Amino acid sequence: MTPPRAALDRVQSPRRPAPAPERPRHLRVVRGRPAPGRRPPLLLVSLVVAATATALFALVIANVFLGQAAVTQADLERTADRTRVEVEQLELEVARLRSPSRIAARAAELGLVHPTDVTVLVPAEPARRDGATNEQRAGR
Amino acid sequence: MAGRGSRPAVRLISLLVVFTFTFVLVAGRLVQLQVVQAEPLEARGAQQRLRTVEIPAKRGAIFDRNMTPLALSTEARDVIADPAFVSDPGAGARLLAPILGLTEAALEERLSRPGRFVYLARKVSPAVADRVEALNLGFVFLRPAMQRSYPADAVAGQVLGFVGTDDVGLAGLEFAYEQTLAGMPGQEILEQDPAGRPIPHGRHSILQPEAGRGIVLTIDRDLQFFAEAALARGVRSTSARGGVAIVLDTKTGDVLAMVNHPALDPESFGRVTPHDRRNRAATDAYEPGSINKVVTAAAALEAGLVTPSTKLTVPDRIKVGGRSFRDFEPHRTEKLTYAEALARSSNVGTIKVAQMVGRDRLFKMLRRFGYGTATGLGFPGESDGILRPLDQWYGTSMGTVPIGQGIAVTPLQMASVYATLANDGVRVQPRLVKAVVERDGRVEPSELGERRPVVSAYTAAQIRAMLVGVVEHGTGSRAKIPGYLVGGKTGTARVPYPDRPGYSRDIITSFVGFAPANDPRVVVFVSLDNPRPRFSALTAAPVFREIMAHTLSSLGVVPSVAALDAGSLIARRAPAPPAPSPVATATVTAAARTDPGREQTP
Repeated sequence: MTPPRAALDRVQSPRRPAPAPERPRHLRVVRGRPAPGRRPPLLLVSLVVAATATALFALVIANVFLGQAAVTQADLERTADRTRVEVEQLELEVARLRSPSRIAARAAELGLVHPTDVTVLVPAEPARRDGATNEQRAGR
Repeated sequence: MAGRGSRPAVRLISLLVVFTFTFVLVAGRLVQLQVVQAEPLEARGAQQRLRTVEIPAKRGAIFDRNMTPLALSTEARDVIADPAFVSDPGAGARLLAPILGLTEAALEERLSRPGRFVYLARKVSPAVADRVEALNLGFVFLRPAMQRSYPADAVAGQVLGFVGTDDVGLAGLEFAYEQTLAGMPGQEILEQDPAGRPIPHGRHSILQPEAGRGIVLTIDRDLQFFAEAALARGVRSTSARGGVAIVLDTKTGDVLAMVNHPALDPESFGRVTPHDRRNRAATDAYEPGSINKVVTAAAALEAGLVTPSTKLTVPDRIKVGGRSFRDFEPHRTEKLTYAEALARSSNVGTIKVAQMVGRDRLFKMLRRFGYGTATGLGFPGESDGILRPLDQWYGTSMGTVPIGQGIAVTPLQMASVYATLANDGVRVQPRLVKAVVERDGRVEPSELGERRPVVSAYTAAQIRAMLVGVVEHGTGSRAKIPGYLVGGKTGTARVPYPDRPGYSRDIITSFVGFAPANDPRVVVFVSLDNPRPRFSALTAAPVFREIMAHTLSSLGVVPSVAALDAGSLIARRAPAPPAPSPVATATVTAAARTDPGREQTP
């Protein structure tokens, strides 16, 4: 058998204190316009967001430029490599074209022959290192 | 009620045990993978992910004495394929064949091979590689390589040698100077995905290769070419098997030309027999024959036993050690001066002089001229020649050695003997490399070869005068060059059997000499293998004349002697004569023209 609700409430619930007499308040909530000189937070937030966005954009742009520069650098390096290889190949070709066997073959094609009748001219006097002849030296 | 209540607990405990065991297993495996096997597994992962590509070093160039390139390395590519990725070998072969210059069948066979790696072509030019790359075939890859080229074709082929497919020197100077020329290869390490594509922002590092250093030879390319052409003409006109020629600067020991015939093109060395790949001028010794008589003369003159004008009684044969030695042509017993005996290349006269010299003195003189020892050229495989120790000489050795049989020298050794006589008796060690080109382009000259006196300047001058007599009045008359005094000696020697005692019917004819005799600048040596006719005077001497005339002209040596009257001869004044008569023989008249630059020297 369950006890009546009111009896339970009496047994289990503590006694509520009597409400205190209301005292007069010194502070109150002021509603309406903010005090002059204080900026609205929305503008500040907007500025921060804009600055952040600009910085991010600048970063992205810088990154793009850096990336482009890297690609350009790689292209230039590749071009330099190709040019260097091309120079090497051309140097080799020049050396091959200057080969005496090729020149001799080309000369033969053109009908050039070795001289058969060679006359040796013997200087009348030995050559001097300064190029002067004995007569010139004697005249000095 | 208690039994039913304990079941969940049992199940929970069992589950806990199972989970704990599983967790321990997983944790243990984790420890095994992350701690115990961490390093090998990491290495294995890196091996799968990282690819190391070797960047070949550029091999140093080889230049002639005028810095004309004789061997150059240029960049090339190896074209390789992974047959595992090839779905249609025939189609791939059809695309690649015209670019690589190979047959479709050959390429299809390579693309159908089992395995993951096959060379399609090696060392193709960058232009060809670009065309292959443009096909964008997933199974074809390009690998950096180096191509060795010899722009002067076969010029000095045996001297330069050649490199193998892997750019390593296999013969000649390419082999001898491998350390100098090779350089240090670099490495490129890059991270790639399982398909072999580079991972963006993955690991990538390059260690640049270090190019090899170059070498500058003493060889003059144009002179070498001319000498090769002259020797080839001589070989053809005499139906000889081959030949050798050397041009040596008497004062510096520089080898200006070193020729072997048949020639060798280093870019296709595989088509040439091993015999023809050798630089026989330095690696092959042969019995020199009569050109060796100058050593006998040097020993006799240096000892003061004879002079060029000493009269000798010369029969046409002489017995030494029980064996008869004869002159080339039968003749009555004659009274000849020693100079005349040399001019006629008399074996008997030379043997008689050698008997005056004796074994000891002759052996010592041979050693002083460098017989039995390599010249110090530094060429790989250079032969020492053969000179038996004195205690192993036979009874007949005093008949054979003085006339150049029973001993063996390389053509370079013999050219060096004549260069010593031309250089007033001072031997200069021959050299082939004049300088080394450093990586920064600096040219570091090599030191000149060792200089060593062998005979006195007076003895050398006497022998030179006798050798001028050989050309002017003796067996070497076909070596005369208008405008220049030439000294030299003919030699014809039989070739011994390679595998048994005795001599075959094969011969080697030689001519070696110097010019201008009044101030020798160069020595030229020529030998021909088994020519027809079998005379040095008719085979080797004309080739000598051709090469010497061109050499003097290309070196700018001014003609100094007008055409000589018959019987007159200009002998270079001998410095500091210890004997009263510096003039060689009655047939050798006094100097008609002296070198003004040498008048001050005693």
